[in-house]
Amino acid sequence: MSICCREATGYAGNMLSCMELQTKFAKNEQSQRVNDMYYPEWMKKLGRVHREQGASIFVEVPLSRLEKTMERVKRHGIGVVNAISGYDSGRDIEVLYHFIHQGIVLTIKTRVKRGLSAVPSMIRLFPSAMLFEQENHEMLGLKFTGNLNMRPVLLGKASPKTPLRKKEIENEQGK
Amino acid sequence: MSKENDEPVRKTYCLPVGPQHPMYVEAENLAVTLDGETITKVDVNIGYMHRGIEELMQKRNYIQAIYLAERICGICSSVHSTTYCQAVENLLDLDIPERAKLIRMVMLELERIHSHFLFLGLVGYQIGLDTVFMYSWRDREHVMDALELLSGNRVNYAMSTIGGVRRDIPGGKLGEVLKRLNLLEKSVDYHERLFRNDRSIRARTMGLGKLQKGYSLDYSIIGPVARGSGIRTDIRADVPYLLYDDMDWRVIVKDGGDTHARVMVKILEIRQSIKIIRSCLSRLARLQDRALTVRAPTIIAPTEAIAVSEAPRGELIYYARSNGTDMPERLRIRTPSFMNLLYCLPPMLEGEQLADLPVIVSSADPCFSCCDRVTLIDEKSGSARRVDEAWLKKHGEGRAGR
Repeated sequence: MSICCREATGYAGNMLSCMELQTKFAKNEQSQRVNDMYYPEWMKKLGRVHREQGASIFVEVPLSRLEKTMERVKRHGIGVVNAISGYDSGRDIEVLYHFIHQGIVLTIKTRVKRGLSAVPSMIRLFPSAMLFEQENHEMLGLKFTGNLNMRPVLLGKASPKTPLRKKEIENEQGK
Repeated sequence: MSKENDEPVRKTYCLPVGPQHPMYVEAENLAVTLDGETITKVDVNIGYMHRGIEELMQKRNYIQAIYLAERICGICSSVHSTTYCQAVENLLDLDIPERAKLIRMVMLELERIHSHFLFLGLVGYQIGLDTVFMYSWRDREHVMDALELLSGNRVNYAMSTIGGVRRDIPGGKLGEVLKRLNLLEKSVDYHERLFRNDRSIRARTMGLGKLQKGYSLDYSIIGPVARGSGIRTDIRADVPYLLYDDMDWRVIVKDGGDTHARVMVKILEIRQSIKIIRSCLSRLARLQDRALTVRAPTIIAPTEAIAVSEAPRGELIYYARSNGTDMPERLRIRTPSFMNLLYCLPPMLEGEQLADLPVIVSSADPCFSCCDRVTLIDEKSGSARRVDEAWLKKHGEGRAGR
């Protein structure tokens, strides 16, 4: 378990020393157990694993391989997508698919170019993706090819369009 | 009516249930298409309570966002703040003291009991048994008292903070909480007997609002609604957080798939929650370590994390992303009602009678009922006109959706 957040952030004021933290973690059995978390090998082989934390594992795949990756996920017995998140990083838009399976929270991430913003829809494999795709379309302006139901879920007619897109970047790009 | 011949044209009514709701503070809208008294189609419209909290949280620091998270829901406030804190702790790879974990569990389970009793009252009310409503809400006061005793507040408890909890549960209060748990246990026994045996309740709940297991699996139906359809899903058991895997409790599953099964799941879950709280309190009394928090940095390096928990209504997901400042870059919240409301109401309601709508909707535990206006749709011409409540009352349908 990483406890070197102070070094990473350069912030030294309001925290215990690493030694103190280490002692606290060592005392706690729970932290030991989380350390030994077992992630199935197939999850690690889905793409580039870029974070393993507690019960969650984050795997990144390129957009071109997204559908095949999802098919593999489905073949391993995951029947539902528990959530789809979107995040506008400024350079591109990240789409994250969260699955809960056998005690592991698997997140598959892919990146879409801001201008392109089209992702293959997953409703064929996971019917529960419908709502999340609608939500991400509404919040980030993402298009999901294959999902014809892009009716607004949360926002009203007078609400700002695609509120979670970074507007300052769009303004710079003259959009 | 058709102009060409005298055959009457079947006219379907589209009855909007909501968006104003007399019981909960939430506002939702169900556009219910009726053929006579039979529901043929249900269109769920949400968004009336959309406050942009995700974006608001991204404009505040990690500590300020706790208070926003707590205010997402008035009933399950503690689970939101706790899951948010877990997400931030996951960003930091931070583990909290055992005492803090136990106190968080006590609060979460008390909150679950409070939510489930509230639910029982509302189901009773919708069935038309106001006595059930009054009894269950009377007994709910015991758990509200316990929450107030521990946190000083009946609704937003402000117990969880990043790195632990803000208040201890002193030894003197443990006994007081235990006393209230004993009273609650008797109440659960009473409600279990009542909902199992009462003929009126059985007639209004059994076989109604069926939700098939296969559908629930496909559409990620979660929480007690899924457990009432025979699916063993509970984040406390599936992805154990805090110390749930150290406690002796079990996931309640019923196969019925109907309104009655969903109600029974909740009643039996209260007993499991009481069991968990008792275990937590006895461990707290024995625990020597008095630490409530570990200090957490206020600035978090760029990374991402996810936290999941079992709210009273189902699984709750928080995805958090940090950017090296004291404010989150992205917070994404997937609440349980979002799934259950939009996916499970249409199959539950279609084919049922309008009079059963309030009971079935209540059994899914979202929030709405009162009809504020009706839209009449003429299938022939496709034209629609809206009428208000006064019109409804005048035409004797004012009570249809209540």
